[in-house]
Amino acid sequence: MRVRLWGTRGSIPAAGCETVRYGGDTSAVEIRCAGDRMIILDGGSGLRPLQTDGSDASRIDILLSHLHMDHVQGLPFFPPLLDPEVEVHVWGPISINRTLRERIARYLSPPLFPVRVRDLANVVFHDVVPGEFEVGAIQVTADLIAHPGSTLGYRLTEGSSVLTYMPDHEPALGNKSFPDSPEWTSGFQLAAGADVLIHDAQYEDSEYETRVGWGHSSVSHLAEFVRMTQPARLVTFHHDPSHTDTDLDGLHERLINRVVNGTDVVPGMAGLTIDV
Amino acid sequence: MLVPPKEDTRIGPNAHNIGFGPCGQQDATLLHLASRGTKFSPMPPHQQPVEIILLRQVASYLSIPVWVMDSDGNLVYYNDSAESLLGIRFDDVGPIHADQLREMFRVTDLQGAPISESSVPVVVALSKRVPAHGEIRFCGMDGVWRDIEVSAIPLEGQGGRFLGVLATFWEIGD
Repeated sequence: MRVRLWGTRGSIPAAGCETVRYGGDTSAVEIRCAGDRMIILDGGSGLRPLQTDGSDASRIDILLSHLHMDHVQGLPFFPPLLDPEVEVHVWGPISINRTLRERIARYLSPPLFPVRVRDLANVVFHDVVPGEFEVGAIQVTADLIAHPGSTLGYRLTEGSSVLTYMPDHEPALGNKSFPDSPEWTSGFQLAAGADVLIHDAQYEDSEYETRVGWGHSSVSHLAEFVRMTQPARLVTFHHDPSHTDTDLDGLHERLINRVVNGTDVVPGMAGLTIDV
Repeated sequence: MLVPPKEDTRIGPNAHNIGFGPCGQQDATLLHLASRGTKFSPMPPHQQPVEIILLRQVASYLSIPVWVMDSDGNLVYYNDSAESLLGIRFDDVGPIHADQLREMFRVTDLQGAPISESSVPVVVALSKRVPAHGEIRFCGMDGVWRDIEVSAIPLEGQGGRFLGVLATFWEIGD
């Protein structure tokens, strides 16, 4: 798998001269698989500039972690969704009362947006129950993780390569004994031993103190989660919109100092490409 | 020209449940049961579903007794308030395998007559996946018999995933 980050920001786009290196667009990650098949993780504003050149143009799969606005706001700006020649499959967490199509339609309808879901060209929606399914040659494991509302983390396996994506995640929530109890730690199974873990790194420890339950990680909690799950590489993600490039450099320095298990900490910057 | 969307698809509910990692408090259970001469069947290691993780957190904050079983009937947690009725601290016993529960906690009707296991509210909720309520006489690990009321509800996650049973109970007359 070849992974490219197009949007790494959390909560809301943060354009400006102070966010140029890490990027201001919200969650969107491109994955190129065997046969140039394209899978996209989340549909934040980073989806708009995402280039599909060189991919199998007949089908694209978009795996949504959840439906918070920063993860879906780019959908109507993604040209393949308006192209009848491209079959787009959109996957997202199941809900009790409404289908994925109906829930996305609450955004893609007036007065919030002029284009309706029915105006999209060639789209198939999949309501995902936690479990396993296949997208081409990729084995996908989806499981609910700790974040307000139904939120899926994804573990993608191609051959022996494993990529785990948990953009919004608060692993310490609900676990008094964190980080000493994998059994009671959200997301443990998805992340354990991954080659690459793309994970929420939104807060400094001091910021987390007043934001417990908001569904995001502190530097310390992320470091402990990495120690517990032992990925080969950690790519930080979902940067707080108030954090400048300089702020994030400092956050990563503190994170690297806390991650002592040999995991390679890679600052998640827009445009970063990683081979898994 | 617009192409009509294909029929939407839904994954599951028979999608595979995923497996998991190590189970933390197994040794405490093993030692405790071994001291009673009980043959111990190790619980399969796994990570709890996030619903159970968060439910345990809520239960730990409540003053009403709460008992949480997983989908296999293993007792994975009970809170401080339940400890006085069960007669043993959770931290001392840890998670309890389904096969061990009937050995650890004896149950009769309120007159002391045996009752079938299938009529115990937590068993009803586990096996039939419907809420159940009942009055039973119950002997905790401290050897004290108590008359209690039990309400048990099945825990079903989105997509029809059966996660286990939550039960609360209190002494009759309290």
